[in-house]
Amino acid sequence: MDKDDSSIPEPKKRAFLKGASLSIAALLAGGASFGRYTLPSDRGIPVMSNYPLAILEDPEGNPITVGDIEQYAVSSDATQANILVFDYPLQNEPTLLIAIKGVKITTPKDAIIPTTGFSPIPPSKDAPMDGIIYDPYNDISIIALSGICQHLGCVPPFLDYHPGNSIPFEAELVGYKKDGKGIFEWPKFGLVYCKCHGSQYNPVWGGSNLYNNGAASSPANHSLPQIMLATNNSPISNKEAFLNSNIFAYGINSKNAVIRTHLQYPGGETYGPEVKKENLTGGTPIRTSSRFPSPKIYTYGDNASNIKSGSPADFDVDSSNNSIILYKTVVVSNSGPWKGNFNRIS
Amino acid sequence: MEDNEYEKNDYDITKLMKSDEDLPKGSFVVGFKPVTEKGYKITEWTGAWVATALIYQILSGIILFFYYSQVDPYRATQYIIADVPFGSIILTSHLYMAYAMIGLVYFHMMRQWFVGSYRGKWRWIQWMLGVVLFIIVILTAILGYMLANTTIAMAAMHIGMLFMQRSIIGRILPGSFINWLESILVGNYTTTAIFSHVLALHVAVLSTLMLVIFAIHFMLFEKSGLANDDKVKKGKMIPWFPTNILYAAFSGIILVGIIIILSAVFPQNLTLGYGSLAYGTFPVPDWYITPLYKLMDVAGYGLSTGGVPLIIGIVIFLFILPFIDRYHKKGALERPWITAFGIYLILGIVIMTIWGYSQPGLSQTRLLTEYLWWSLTLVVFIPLYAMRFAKRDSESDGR
Repeated sequence: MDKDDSSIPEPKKRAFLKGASLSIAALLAGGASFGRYTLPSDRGIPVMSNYPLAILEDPEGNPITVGDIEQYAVSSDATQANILVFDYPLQNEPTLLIAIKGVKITTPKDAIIPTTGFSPIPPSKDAPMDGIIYDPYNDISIIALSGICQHLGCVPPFLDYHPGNSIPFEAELVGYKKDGKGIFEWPKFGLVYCKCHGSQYNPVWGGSNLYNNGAASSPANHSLPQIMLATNNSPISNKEAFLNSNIFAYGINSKNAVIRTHLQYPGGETYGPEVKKENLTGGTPIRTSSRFPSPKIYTYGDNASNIKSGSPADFDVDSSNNSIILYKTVVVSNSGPWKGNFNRIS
Repeated sequence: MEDNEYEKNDYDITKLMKSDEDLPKGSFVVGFKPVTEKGYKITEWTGAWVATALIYQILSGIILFFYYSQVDPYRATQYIIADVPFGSIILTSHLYMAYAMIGLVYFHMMRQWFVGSYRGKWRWIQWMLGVVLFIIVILTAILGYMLANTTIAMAAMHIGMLFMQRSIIGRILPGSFINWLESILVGNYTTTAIFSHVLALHVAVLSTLMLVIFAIHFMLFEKSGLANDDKVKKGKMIPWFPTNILYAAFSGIILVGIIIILSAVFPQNLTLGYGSLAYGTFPVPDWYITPLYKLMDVAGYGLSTGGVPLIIGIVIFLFILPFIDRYHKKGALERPWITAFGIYLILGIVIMTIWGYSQPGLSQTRLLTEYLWWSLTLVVFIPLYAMRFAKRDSESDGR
């Protein structure tokens, strides 16, 4: 072959400009539509108008009762607690269901637990906390707390409830002892402990983050959001009827933070009254139930008369054409008849 | 041969194995260069092992790809282990080769670091692309680890998303960017969408990117040649074909053999599936994540002010290392600060890995953190300077 320089044609200026401008124009035209294809159209759009009213069911589809859950109640000397989890408000958003015997969970007098210093038991009102179920006959409190850690979003079983006589290995490493002094004392009714980075929440304080009140500082920024529970029979009229009541989840306690996975966007960190209005995006709604919503539901209101009741429409929940939609959610556990998986693939 | 006739076929394919000489001017040559006998040392071939690992991952990954399903990832993984012929050994060796690959990437990187072979010619581009490859390898490994949908994998997924949202990535860059980044990772956040996206990223996007950048990285090596060029010039040149390729292949096959034996002896046990519950489960991530994980505990200043910027800082430092290293003389002891940083990095990674493995997720006090970093600094610098002075002394005594 000829090895002369002249055999290699230099690209012509005009040809180069033509090629470059055409390809860049094509790239821009294509790029403009790129976002349309990579961003799902349902992204950022609420999947429900409001928090759902959901009936709690067992894995076989039967509604569970207050009495069923009380079988799982742990007292202060328990060495282990069954993990009970249901998805709420969306699928794949675990909520811990905790039943504790021998304590009435009450609202702290100030909604905020002090963030410095040590205060073993916060000053409290006498009334049971808003949105828990309190059984006055057996002295059992049932509370539902978001199972998504407020620190970095770890879920059960990494985040789970360890009762009074069950100190997780990591909590022992930071100095927690059953008979420890001051901040090193493992609380009488235990803690909800996240084993990912050691966040500590006290279920008896309504899921309050311990901040610097524990043996090691709790890295989470907020307390666990509390999911509100209601029954379809009043707790104070008839013991039998109350223990056979169905249980409903109907919203979120607006005193706490947003559920961790709902912090979709930077700056979306809201807590306080805005929590109720926070839009439910980024997921799939839990399933709807074929049952009719109970005509009246009862819950502990945070007031002197204690009991708040009304038709489900009175509780600000998801509805369509002015009628309440009843959803259902399955309670699963690590053992026993409710053994199951909260990430139910549908 | 007339001009209007086709060329004749050449059936002597051995001619293809002859070296190309006398190429016409205007050719761009990406050659496979001969090296001297001195080039056949294990330390000069650290990259060949990483390349072997990459090839093995692609081949075993294709087999796994036939059987994986993003609709029910955990059960698909169980199915591969239990029912696919040789499924357990293929999956385990895919995992162990990924471990080996990350270890070998570290080894390859630290070897170049201490030798200083990122100096000269275009080796600075090679180094920078190497850092990019390092990040892609780690990301691909983490995504692969998510694919089984175990509890720990989904914890990694949630934490990864929160890192994007809450760290400086999400806080400084515009909101739409983080939205886009998240939807690339998880789609609309249903199980199938998450695993379709993670699968695509793992098997197509990142692995293709890795292969392309690796090709450029390798061609740049052939372009710049061995860093210790003077040795090459002195010895007798051994042709690239077949000695060189066979050397690479044989050392690679030894690596594959070791990995397959290990995967046969220690088959992988699938951990708890996501959504299943077991009382008292502890999060123990894979070993290459534990340094990152532990660094978050010991950074001591929280996630967005401590952990994430610290890691970004380390990556930037790695990236611009060829421009930081301004020493003129060759050798590890002649570049004390660079060598010290290298040892610091190795010790730091080893300590973080072991510590993270034994005490995952245990927040450390700021005092302990400071104590750790400063004592590590002393441990690194004092012996290094002692050795340097000793070397100087012995040199002056000899004179």
